[in-house]
Amino acid sequence: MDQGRPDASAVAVADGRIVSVGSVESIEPWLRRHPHSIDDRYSDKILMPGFIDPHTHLRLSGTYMGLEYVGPIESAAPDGLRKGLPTRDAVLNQLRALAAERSDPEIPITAWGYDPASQSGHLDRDMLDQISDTVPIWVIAYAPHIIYANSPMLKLIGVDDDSVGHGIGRYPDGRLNGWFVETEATARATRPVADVVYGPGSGRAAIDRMGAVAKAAGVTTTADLVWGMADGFEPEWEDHARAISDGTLPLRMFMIPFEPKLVREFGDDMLEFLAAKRRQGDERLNTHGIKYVNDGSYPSMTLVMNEPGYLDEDTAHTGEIPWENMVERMLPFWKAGVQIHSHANGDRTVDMTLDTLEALQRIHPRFDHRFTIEHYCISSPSQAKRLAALGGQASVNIYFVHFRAQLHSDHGFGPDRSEATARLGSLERARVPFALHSDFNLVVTPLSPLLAAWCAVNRIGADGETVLAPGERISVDSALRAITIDAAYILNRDDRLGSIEVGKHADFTVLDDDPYQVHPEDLKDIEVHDTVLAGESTN
Amino acid sequence: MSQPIKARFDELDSAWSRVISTLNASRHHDQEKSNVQTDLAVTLLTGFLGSGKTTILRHALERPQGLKIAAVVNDVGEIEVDAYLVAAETPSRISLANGCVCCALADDLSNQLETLARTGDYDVVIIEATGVADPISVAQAIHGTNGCHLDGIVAVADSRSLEEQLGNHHTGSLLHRQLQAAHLVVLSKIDLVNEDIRQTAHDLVAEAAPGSRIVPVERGQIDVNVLCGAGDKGVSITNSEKFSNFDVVSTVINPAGPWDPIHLGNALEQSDHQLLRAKGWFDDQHGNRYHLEVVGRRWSIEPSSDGPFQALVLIGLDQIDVDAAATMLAGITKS
Repeated sequence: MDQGRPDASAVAVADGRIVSVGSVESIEPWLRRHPHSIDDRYSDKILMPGFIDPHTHLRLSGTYMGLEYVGPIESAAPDGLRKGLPTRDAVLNQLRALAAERSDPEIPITAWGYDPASQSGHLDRDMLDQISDTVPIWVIAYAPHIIYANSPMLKLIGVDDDSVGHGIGRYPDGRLNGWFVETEATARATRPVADVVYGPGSGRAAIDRMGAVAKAAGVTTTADLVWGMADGFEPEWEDHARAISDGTLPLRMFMIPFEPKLVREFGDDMLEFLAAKRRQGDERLNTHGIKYVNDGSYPSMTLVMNEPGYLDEDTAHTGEIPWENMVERMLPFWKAGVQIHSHANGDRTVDMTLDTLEALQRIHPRFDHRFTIEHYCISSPSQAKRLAALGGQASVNIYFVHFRAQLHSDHGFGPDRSEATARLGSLERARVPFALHSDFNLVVTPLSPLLAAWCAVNRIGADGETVLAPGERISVDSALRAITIDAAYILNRDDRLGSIEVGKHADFTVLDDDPYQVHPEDLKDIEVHDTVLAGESTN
Repeated sequence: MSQPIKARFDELDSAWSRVISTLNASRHHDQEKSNVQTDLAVTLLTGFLGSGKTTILRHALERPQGLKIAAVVNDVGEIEVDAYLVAAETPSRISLANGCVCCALADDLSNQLETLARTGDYDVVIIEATGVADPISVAQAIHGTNGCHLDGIVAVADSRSLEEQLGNHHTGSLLHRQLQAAHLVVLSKIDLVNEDIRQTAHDLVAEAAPGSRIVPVERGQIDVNVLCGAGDKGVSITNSEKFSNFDVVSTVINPAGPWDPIHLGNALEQSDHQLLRAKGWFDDQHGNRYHLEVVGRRWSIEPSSDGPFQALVLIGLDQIDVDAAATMLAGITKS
C-alpha cells in the first residue's frame, strides 16, 4: 500500500518494526550489517499490510455472543451468519448438540431467539430435561417476554414448586413448567445468567472471544468506538491491557471514549483524563479521539433523513437524540486538538454534522483535524464535496449495501436512498479520505475486511446479482486501501500503520491469494492464513 | 452469502436489543440490597407522544394525597415540553441523558433511581418514558436497580387516535408492545370522544392486550393511588373513603386469609377480576405473613414477617368489580 513501491518479495523486520522492503537482494545492505535469519514460511502466500477495522465494539458485543442463537431467521454470529432454525425439533436438536459438548455442567447453556409462533409451540421444562437434566438450559424468546428453563436451571434460579411469583408457569398438576413470563419473572430468571455473562472475568472473556474473531478475519488493528459504555473506562482499559499482556488479544486497540459517559464521569477533568491515558498508553493499547452518537441505526430505521424522508413518514422512529448544543459539546475537544468521530447514518444527520463542523471551523479554524463522520450510510454527492471542503473524512459501513439495501427499497428508505447506500464513489470523486468498517457487532453484519472490500468493489445486493448504484463502486485498489492505509489515516496512525513501509510496525495479514489478481467477485472468498503483529505470527 | 434474507429483519434487531437490555439490567442486581417492603415503588408510565402522559403526571404531582412522589422524565425527544410542564410541581424531576444505545439509557436510569432510593425522601417514583421507548427494556432496568422495585407499567392510550396508531404498520407494533407490557391501560381524553369511539378504543385495547384492566380518564384525572403503588406508605387501609375521588371505589377485607400463597397466586393469575389495585397483608394457615400487591393483571406475593396487620384493600372502577373480587378471594382455600 506504499503507492510509490507497490510490490515486494521480502521484508526485513527488527524489534517489531519494518527495516527494509524489497527483495532478498535489495535489502542486502541491511542484512550484511546485522545478524539475521530468513523466514520463508509465507513464501507461497501474499503479505498485505495488517487489516484495520476502524470502528468495532468487541468488548460490548463479545459479552452477548456467549448466547447461542435458536431463532427462526438468519442472524449474525462471529463467524458470519447463522441459519434460522425452522421448527421446535430443530431447536431441540441444536440444544442437544450444545449439551453434548458442554464439559462444565455448572455453566448454563444460554440461548436466545426462540419464537413459539413460527417454531411450532412453546418449550417447557420436561422437554428441556429430556435434553439434559444436569446442564442448566436457559432459552429466552425472540420477543423476550418469556424464558424457558429446565430443572437444573430452575435450581440455579432458586425456585421450586413452592415458589410464589407472578409469571412463574406451572403444569396443571402444580409443578413448575419452566416458564418465566413477563418482566418480573424474566428478570428473576435472568439474574443467574447475567452473573455468568457479566461475572468477574466476563469482560476479558468477551475481549478474547471477539479478538479471536477479528484476528481470524485478518484484522491487526481496531478501535472500540464506545469506550466506557460497557463497564466503565478503567475496567475496560484494564481488561484490554491484561488481554494484551497475557497474549490473548492479537490486536492493536484504540479506545475511543463515548462522549456522554466521559462528560458525565469526568466533567471538567475530561481532557486531563484523556491526556493521562494517552501517556499511559503505548503502541498496542491507546486512546484517541472522542465519539458522538447523533442518530439511530440503518437496520432499525432510526436514522434521520432529509426530504422526502421515509416511505411511511409517520412510522420512522427518529428524532430521539437532541442535537442542541452540538457545537458547544464538541468545541472543548476540537480546541484541544482531539479528533472527533461523529456518528451519522442519515443524510439529515450528515447535514447537521457538516453544519457543526463548519461552525467549529469558523470559531477555531483547524487543518488536518481528521474529523470523521462514522457510518455515512445515506448521503448525497454534494455532502461528500462539502465534507471535503471542510477537511473531514468518513468511516463507512459498507456491509449494508449487500445485506440490507435491497430490503429497505420498499421498507423505510425507498429505492433511491437504499440503492445509493454508502456512496464510496462519491467520496472518492470528492477526494474525501475514507475507510471501511463493520461496527461489529452492534448491527447485524459480520466482521470481515475482505468482505467489506468485496461489497465496495461489487455492490451486489442481497439477491446475489443486482449491482446497486454502479457509479458508487470503487476499484479493488481503493477498497484495499480503505481496509489498510486509509483506515490507518482515519485513526491518525498512517505514519505508523497501514502499509508495508520502512519504519512502520511489522503488522501483516497473510492471505492465500493475491486480492489484486483474483476476480473481483471472489475477493470475499480469499482465505486469511495468518496475521503478523509486530513481526510475530499470531497463529 | 448471496441468499436473500427473509422478512422480519428489522424485528431481529429490536428483539436483540431487548434481549441485551434484559441481560444488561440484571447484572448489577443485588438481592440483598433490594427489599420489597422498603424499596421505592416505581411506576412506569408509557404511551405515545401526545397520548396524555404528561397531563397524568402533572395531575398526580398536584394531588399527591400525602405521597412523596419523584418524577423521572425521559428527555429523549420532547425535552422542552416535558421539562417545562412538570418543572414546577416537583423538586425532584430528573432528566435522563440521551443515548440511542439501549444500555446507555438503562445505565443512566439505574443510576438515577439508585440515587433517589438512597435519599429516602420519596415514597414512589413515576417514570414518564419517551413515546418510542420499549417498556420491556425500561422495566428490566427498573427490575435490575437496587433499592427499587417495579410497581407497575401503566400505558396511556389516546382514545381519539388509538385506532389509527394501531393500524399503522410501524407504530402499530410498538403500541402493541406497550399495551401488552402494561398492567393498567389508561384510556385518555375520553371527554373528547363520543360513546362509540370510546367503546371502539376499549375493544381495541382488549383485543391488542387481552386481560388488560382499562381505566378511562378525563383530563388526566386519575387517582394517584391507582397510578402508584405506595407499599404501606400511601394507602391507609383503615381510612378508605378517600377513594371517593375520581370514580374509583374500594373495599377492605379484614382479616385477609388465611390463604395458601400459591393458591392465591393461581387464583389471581386465572381470574379475570377487574381490580385496578389491591394491597395489604395476609397470613397462611401456619401464621406466616405475606405482602400482596395487585396492579391490574400483575400481582406479587412476598413473605413479610413484619407486616403490621392482616387486611387488604381492593380498588376498582365500580362496586360490582370490587365485590366480585372479594367473593373470588373468599373462595380461596388455606391449604
